[in-house]
Amino acid sequence: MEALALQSPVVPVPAASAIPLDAVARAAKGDARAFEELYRAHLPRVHSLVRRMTAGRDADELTQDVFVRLWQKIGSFRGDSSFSTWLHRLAVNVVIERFRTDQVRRKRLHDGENIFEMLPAPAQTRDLGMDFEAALEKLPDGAREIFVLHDVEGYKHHEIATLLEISAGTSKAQLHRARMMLRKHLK
Amino acid sequence: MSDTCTDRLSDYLDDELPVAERAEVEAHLATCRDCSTALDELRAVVALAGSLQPRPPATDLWPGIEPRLSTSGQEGNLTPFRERASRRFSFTVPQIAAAGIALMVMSGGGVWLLQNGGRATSMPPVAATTVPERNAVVPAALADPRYDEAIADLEEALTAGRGDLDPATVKVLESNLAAIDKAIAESRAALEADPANVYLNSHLADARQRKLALLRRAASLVGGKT
Amino acid sequence: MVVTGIALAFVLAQAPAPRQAAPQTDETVAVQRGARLNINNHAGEVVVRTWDKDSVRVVARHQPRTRVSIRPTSAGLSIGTSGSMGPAGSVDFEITAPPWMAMRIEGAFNFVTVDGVQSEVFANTVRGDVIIKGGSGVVTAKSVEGEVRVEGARGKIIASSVNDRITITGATGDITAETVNGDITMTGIDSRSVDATTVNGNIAFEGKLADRGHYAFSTHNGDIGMGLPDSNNATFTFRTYQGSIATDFTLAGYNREDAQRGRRAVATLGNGSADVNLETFGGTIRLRKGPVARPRAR
Repeated sequence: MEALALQSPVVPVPAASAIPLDAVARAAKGDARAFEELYRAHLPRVHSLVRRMTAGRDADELTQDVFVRLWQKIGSFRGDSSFSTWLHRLAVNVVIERFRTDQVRRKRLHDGENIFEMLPAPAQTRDLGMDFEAALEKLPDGAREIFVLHDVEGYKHHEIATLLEISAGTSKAQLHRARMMLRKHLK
Repeated sequence: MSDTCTDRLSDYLDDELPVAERAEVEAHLATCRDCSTALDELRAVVALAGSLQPRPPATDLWPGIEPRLSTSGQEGNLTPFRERASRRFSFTVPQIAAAGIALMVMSGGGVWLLQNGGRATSMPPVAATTVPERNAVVPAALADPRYDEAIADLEEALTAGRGDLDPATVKVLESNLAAIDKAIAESRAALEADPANVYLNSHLADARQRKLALLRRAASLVGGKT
Repeated sequence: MVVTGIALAFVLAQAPAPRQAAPQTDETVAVQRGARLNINNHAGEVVVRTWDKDSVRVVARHQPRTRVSIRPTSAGLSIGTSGSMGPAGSVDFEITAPPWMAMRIEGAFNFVTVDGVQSEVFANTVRGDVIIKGGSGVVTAKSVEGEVRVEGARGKIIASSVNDRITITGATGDITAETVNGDITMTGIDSRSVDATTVNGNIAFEGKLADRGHYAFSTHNGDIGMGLPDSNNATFTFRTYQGSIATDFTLAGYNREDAQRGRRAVATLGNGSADVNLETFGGTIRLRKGPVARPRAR
């Protein structure tokens, strides 16, 4: 996964703020070129979210699914929130749909606690963020998803509970579990 | 560091505790260095999480998106990129069919295995005559070359049919067969030093019977090919 | 990035629905006493609970292209899945049935939970955990890659895994438990016949030893721990090649040297009524008074 950070994307990525305001409206009318602008602007954040929630598994494929879903649903964007926020929620939904059909979910909250004891000590890299991303991938699936949603993406427990069909209590417990595991890795 | 205290640290950090509990935790933190250290560490984790920057993928994904735009209308249904072939829990059509058929067979083989306790205290024939097995493996006594033939038959069946099984299942079966092989090897090595040892002889026999039983179960999972 | 409360409220209101919130199937079918339930689900989750009605409610969540069939048979009721285009996708079932209903649940990739059934249960999968709470008659719980748990069963228990642990609690009736790469833990057992075997795993047993009962525990690479009441009547046969034996009890006829290097060591407690065979190639055999100290984690 470290290699990903060392390669730049094929096409320069415009900042989301540089996208013309009517790109969404044009894309909603079927303008593929406008849609591509949206894709390029939002790809890093969408792909990062997907990659972190899935520990990199099928991240590219799922990211593509997100943008195809965006193409289908963009006409329903009402502009009541920022487009970025709306897209973000759509991406989370696509990932969770995949989790449900994967059926690994039932075991995800029961994986072993001591995985970090099996990992070598984190290398001294210049990029603590890269180390942290690698550590995220090693978390048990359920704890990682909740950590990403709460601490990285800013969802609240009651929203996570609704998204993942768990209780808010489970969300809190798994978040704490993830944090306690990650702090060992940062030592 | 008490578990009760550390369990509440995240809720404390996120301001999710009721007032009275928050006061309790604060009072404890004032006196407990371990817990206050843990809290600082959790804060660092949260801060690092919040500072993570988005990173694009290594390759441009647009070539895989654009063709699907023309085939999936807006407000339509999502066209899967691939027919779930890369799911963590994925299985192909033949695997589903094979697993479904094989489970019926596995039930019979598994009951045989468990009814016989999975081990032999002497050297009886391995296979009970009532086993509804699909494999035409000749039942064999453990001291009999036919046992080795039975093992070889089943290993061949599994090798031939492994492509029909989910790779993760194959890996699990192989690692467990390896565990049994290791037990067999250790028993054999001990027997070389103590060939008249009754326990070692029966333990080796048990281990070999476990291998045969697991191979039967694995071969029945393949199902439909043998 | 923290999303403000106001923006969130709009997002929650406006964001496209990710999946069907309501189930695709919700049917209730009346059944006659004595009917058996057969569930065949290729992949997904099957949760069965009970109620005091003579009917079966089937709630299922799945993709639109997957169909759930619920049909009466001569034996009772059969639930299955199929795909409108190719194989069935995964289906999550929540089934409520009368406690007297015997059931059989099969499917290659299932997580199965059965809670409250007071009849025969048979659950078999390749990848997935099987958890059965209750059950009587014959309770069969089998997986290859998943954990098997049976709690409070009354009757013969057949528990089998390959790559995971088996846990049996509060059971009466014969027990046969087998795995290759997992521990077997049995607590609150009141049984006349227990047979447990693993290769890479520990075996732990807490329970009563019935007069003339038969107990056989065998592992290659693990420990065996038994937690027994103060008074027992049992004849212990120990076999270990590279391991050791430790006991809280004073055993008559016990010769420590016999127990080394795989020779059979026989010792008696009380009148020696129950027959207990304990074998481990390389681990430790421990007999404890009271709760068993859990064997060391592998």
